[in-house]
Amino acid sequence: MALSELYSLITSDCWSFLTNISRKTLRCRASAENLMAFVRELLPIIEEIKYTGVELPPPRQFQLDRLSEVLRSGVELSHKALSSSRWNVYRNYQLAKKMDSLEKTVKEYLKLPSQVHILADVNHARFEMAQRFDRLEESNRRLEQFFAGMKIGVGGGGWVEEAVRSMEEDETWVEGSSGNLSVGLELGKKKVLEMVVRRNDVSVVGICGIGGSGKTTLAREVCRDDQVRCHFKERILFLTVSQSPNVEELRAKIFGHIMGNRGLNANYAVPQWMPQFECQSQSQILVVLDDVWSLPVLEQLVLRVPGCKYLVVSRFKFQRIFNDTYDVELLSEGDALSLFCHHAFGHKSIPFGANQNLIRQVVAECGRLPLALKVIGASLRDQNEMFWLSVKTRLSQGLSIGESYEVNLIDRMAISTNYLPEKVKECFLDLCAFPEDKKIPLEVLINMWVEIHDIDETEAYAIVVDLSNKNLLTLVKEARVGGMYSSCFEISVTQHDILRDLALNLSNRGSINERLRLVMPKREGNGQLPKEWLRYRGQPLEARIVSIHTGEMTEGDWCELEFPKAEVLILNFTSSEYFLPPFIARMPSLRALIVINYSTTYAHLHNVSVFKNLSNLRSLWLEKVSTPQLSGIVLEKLGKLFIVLCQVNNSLKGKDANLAHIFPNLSEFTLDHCDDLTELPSSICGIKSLQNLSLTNCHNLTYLPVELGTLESLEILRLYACPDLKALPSSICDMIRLKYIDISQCVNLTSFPEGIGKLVSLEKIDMRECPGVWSLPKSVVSLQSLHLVICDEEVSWMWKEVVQKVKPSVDIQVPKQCYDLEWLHE
Amino acid sequence: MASNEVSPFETSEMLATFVTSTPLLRESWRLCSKANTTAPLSFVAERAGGVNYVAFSGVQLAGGSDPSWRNLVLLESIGGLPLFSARRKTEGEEAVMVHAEMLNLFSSLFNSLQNQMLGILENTDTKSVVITGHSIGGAIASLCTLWLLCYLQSISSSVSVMCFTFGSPLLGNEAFSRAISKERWGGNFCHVVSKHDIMPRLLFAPITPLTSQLNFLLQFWHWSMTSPASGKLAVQISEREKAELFTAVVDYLEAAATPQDGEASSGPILFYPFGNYFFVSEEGALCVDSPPTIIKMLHLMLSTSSPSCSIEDHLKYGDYVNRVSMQMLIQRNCIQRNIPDSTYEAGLELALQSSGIANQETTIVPAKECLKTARRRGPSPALNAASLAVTFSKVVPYRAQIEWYKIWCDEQDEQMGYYDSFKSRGSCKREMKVNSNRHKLARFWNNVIDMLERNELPHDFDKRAKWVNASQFYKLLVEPLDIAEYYGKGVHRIKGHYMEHGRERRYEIFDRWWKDRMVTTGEENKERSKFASSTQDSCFWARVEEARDWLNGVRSERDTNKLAMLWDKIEEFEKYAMKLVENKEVSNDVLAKNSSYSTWVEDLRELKRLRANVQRFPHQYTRFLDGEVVP
Repeated sequence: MALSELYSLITSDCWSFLTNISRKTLRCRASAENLMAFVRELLPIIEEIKYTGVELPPPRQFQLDRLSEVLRSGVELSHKALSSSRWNVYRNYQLAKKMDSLEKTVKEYLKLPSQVHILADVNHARFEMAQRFDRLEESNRRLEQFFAGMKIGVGGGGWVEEAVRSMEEDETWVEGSSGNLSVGLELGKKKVLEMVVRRNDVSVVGICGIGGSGKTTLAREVCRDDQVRCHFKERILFLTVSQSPNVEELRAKIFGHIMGNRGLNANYAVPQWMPQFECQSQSQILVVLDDVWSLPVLEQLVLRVPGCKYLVVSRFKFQRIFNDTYDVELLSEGDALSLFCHHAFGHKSIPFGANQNLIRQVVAECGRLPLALKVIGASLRDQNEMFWLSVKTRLSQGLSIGESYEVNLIDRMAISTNYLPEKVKECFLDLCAFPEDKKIPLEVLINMWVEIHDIDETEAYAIVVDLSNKNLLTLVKEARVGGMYSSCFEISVTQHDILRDLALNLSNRGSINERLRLVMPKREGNGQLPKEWLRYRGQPLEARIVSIHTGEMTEGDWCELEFPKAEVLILNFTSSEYFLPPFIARMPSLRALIVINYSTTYAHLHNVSVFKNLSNLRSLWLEKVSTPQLSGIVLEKLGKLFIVLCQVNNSLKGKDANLAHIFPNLSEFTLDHCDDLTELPSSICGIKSLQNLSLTNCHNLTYLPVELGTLESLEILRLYACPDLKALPSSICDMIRLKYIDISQCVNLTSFPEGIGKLVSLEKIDMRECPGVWSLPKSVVSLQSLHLVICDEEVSWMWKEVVQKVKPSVDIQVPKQCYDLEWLHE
Repeated sequence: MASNEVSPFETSEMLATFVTSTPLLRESWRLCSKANTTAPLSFVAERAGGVNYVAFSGVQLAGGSDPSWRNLVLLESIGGLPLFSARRKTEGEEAVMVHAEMLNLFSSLFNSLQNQMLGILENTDTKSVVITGHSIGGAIASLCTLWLLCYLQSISSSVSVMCFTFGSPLLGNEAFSRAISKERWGGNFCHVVSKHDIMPRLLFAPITPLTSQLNFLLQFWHWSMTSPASGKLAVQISEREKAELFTAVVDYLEAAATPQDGEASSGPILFYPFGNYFFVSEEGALCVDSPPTIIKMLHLMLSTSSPSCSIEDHLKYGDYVNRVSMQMLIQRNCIQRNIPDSTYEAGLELALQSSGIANQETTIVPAKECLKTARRRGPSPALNAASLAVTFSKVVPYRAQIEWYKIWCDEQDEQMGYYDSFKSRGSCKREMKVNSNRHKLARFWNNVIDMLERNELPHDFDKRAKWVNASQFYKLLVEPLDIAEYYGKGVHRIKGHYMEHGRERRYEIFDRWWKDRMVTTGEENKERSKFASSTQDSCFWARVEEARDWLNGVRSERDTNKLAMLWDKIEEFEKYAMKLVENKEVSNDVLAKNSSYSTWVEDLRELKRLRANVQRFPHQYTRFLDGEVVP
């Protein structure tokens, strides 16, 4: 401001000149000193006026101008005083007089008009203040209205409370851990940023994950991120939707936000269809919908407007709506430990002198889930080691460790299951019958469900997918999985420990003899049956699913348990000798038997003769055992037989072991990873009911029976990864019902049989990584049902040339190969 | 024709013109005729223009001992060197056989020949050797070349060898021809055959009934070779006999040339052409390398001839050579009215003209067809090599996975190393996955070798760093797994030890590639500062297994002689292994605490202690007890 600059110029000049004058003349000394002190007082005040930088009204401006003029004349005066000699007393006197009068004028100005100025200013301030308070009140009223609206939406549950609570929780978590957990969040944030900011093709981004995995925290971090705030120019709306939302109001809010916050009250009805209004080539808008539970709600809330992006936080995957999804990953081990320590000790690492091992074990029980770490960590705060130990044991058995655990963790996790239909929920609970941290082959799971819930396989599969979308289990697909007829082997299921604990918790309510699922959560320390079961010796138990996890069992280790209603029996064990429980013989309705050995060596099964009594057994799964001699046993109803990772020991061969006699009604037969299988016994050709034959990963399988073609009902033939197989028996051309043949990774197979054209029902051929097959028999052109061939690029031209010319409808796929190292750490 | 096929040029004529433009052909013939006149029953050597020539005289005593003239003998080694060594005989494959008489002749000359050759090779100036011979001398020259190639391969020499024969009789059977082409030596042989010469075609026919005539004929040729004038002194064969011989050869040749003759009259052809055939006529020359085309051309050209002409032509190579050497200077016009549009057709026209049968209406069409079939089918070698690299990139991850497996094994508590982990694998998906990768990699590399042997890959493929290094890397990493599988499954108890009886051929071939690679200076002599990522001797584990066998033998052996022998072997291996360890040429897994090698060392120490105690031999072995370097 020009005026204030002038002031500064004048005052500083004045000051220096006056000092000179006072030094020079004795006569004017007194008045000059006065002037000096006066200007010294004046200086800071004028400085202050100068720095406020407020425009002044004209009259005041004028007065100040005058003051400046006076001061300027003071400068002139001091000039004169400088120039006059010491002996020119009269002149000096004159000057001193003038200086006095100058001082007087300035003083007078400051005495009166400035006081009035102050009064005016105060008045001004009062007026403005009143205005502002009015405005504040108005907004306050609006807020009240808003809260009132919220209360209307409460509907009995109090979602606001809940939202506030969960927000608080998340807040504290972030506060408490923002320092040490930034690594855990960074990666997720980066990925979400990528989707939200950089990609223009997605408008709805999902953040999904199981309960308590830090989804909301991540979303908040994203909103807080500078990059996001810049990109959306602060136009970010964060809404908590919750389980019972007021959809109309939320819609209104979103709409208002999109329209740019212009005068919308709560009752504004959002048009059902969105007019294509031009939001002035709009800037981007981000709407974050937290805690979404149902698809219909989400559908209503997502307004498809250009330039508007949604970030939806949910436990469920709404694949229909989401353009892209970020699945929240669990914490890394280090982060998990530091979060736990933060809640348990208030430090970021294990305090000195604490029992490292114990702490690590407890942390491991939390399964790297932030919520679990927090809840369990907090409930262990300031507790002694004995308590810790008991908590660890209880946790490992899936038992509750206290109220906080139940309310904050289990109940919160259980919300997910509340939304499930009864049958699906039952299926979810069944999952607890499998040991923790193991992949469950989909085949096993589906078979079990099929038998126990009386559903068919497709429905069972649909349930798996449903549960997976709701993040209640994880589907682990192998890279090569593809489409119809692909083996369920390639898919397996895993479940987070906490979810398994939840399932255990929910199914273990009630006393042992009443439970529908009788499950040993894990192997007891001594590898025996749990003591509490033994109390029910001799009494009939209600359980339909029985899961037992033991070490080596001998005849004496079993006791007289009665499971008259058991339909599914899962025997998990870790040993090289295993005596099958005698009570199997007294399970008349047993339909599925699953025997899985988790040790590294094959187990010898004893007491195989109990199989004789299993007249209702439909599905049998044997894993990592030495296949027993089954001669003399007839499993009349057995439909599905799986022999996985087993030592076959020629048990399938020999004149006693006529497979057709033992399994007269087998429809599905699988031999997987059987290393010592060199030759498929020809007696298998007698099983006329066989529809599905899988010989996969049998590295030493060299010969197939010549008469394999007599399996006339066979529809699916998988010969996947049998590198020693050199030729297919030509009789397979007689399998007129064959729909699917998989010879992928049979690296030494050199050709298809000449007459393959006779396979009139063949729909799909999978021949990936068969570098030996370089030519096709001429008859392939007559494969009339063929519509899909999956092969390598090197041979795809061959198919195109031979088949596509005749039948352009045949699809020839060249899948991209994927490589991973998952298998290394299994 | 697919777009990725080789360039559509007719090469037989161009190739021939190229050969004639070099002095090789002329020089070869000059020396041949010199050998014929001055060194009967022997050979002459000469150096001309930086090239060493060795010529075998066509005057050789053949047929004396063997009246049938068609005996074949097994050819497994030549001049003391095992031949086609990298080719372990697979079941059902025909044995490699050559003409007995020719082999005899070669063997009789071998000692002096070997001295001569080694003398030539010792000279550091020697860059290339041309071996040549007329008539029967040509067959001997071929055998000599074979030996030389074999010898040069064994010493990894880069001296190039070329063989020119003039009117040489057929030498070996079909397996012989195939073996040569698999070794990719076909290009080292160039058989010059004149249009009417009966000699190179003679062995297609069973000529037992005509042996006497043949002997007369040979005699006539010999005399004529030594001095053209003296040929007249030889016993003349009657025109009738000539005609008989001629028709017999033409008939059998026709039978041989007709595809799928089946079991009919002649039976299988005993002798089969190999290498390149260089047909010369008055009109020019053409060069062909596929055996069916060669047979067909041999037939077509002879069928335009006459009995006496066919015999005299055997002596006319001098004229032909002079003629074709000049031929390339003559600008030729297409005798047909219009030059065909495509370069290929034009080339074909030229080739026909050069073959000298273009004016015979009956032969022109089949000759054209037959030259067309000689054309290479499928994509060019360079293209194959390029697409192979793409395929390779798809299997590399499998190898990488095995590497990860190796590292994973090193990190395990068992401390077994990947060899032993894989060998003693129980039932585990992990090892099965590794095993399946092993199979896939083996399949890929076997395929590479097959392609190479079918000549579908560039000639210098096995010299290209990419492939040499990749194969070496593969071998070092995966062969231990093969050995583990071999011993883990107990195959050695049935077949014998891996090194001798179980090693896959591909590894031997890769050994050779690696040995013959170009070594950049300084690469070899760098000292290792830490253990190699994979043991540099890929058969190390096989050696360990054998050593273990010896150690077990020592425990049970009572015979002192045998015992001493076993101890010698053990000691030798121990020294070898220690040297490897000292030079850090083994990888970590060898020295893992529970690896086969570590346990072997432990066992050995134990046994020695025992032995020292029992036999009171305290001094002899102490240095081993102290000198262990296993960390």
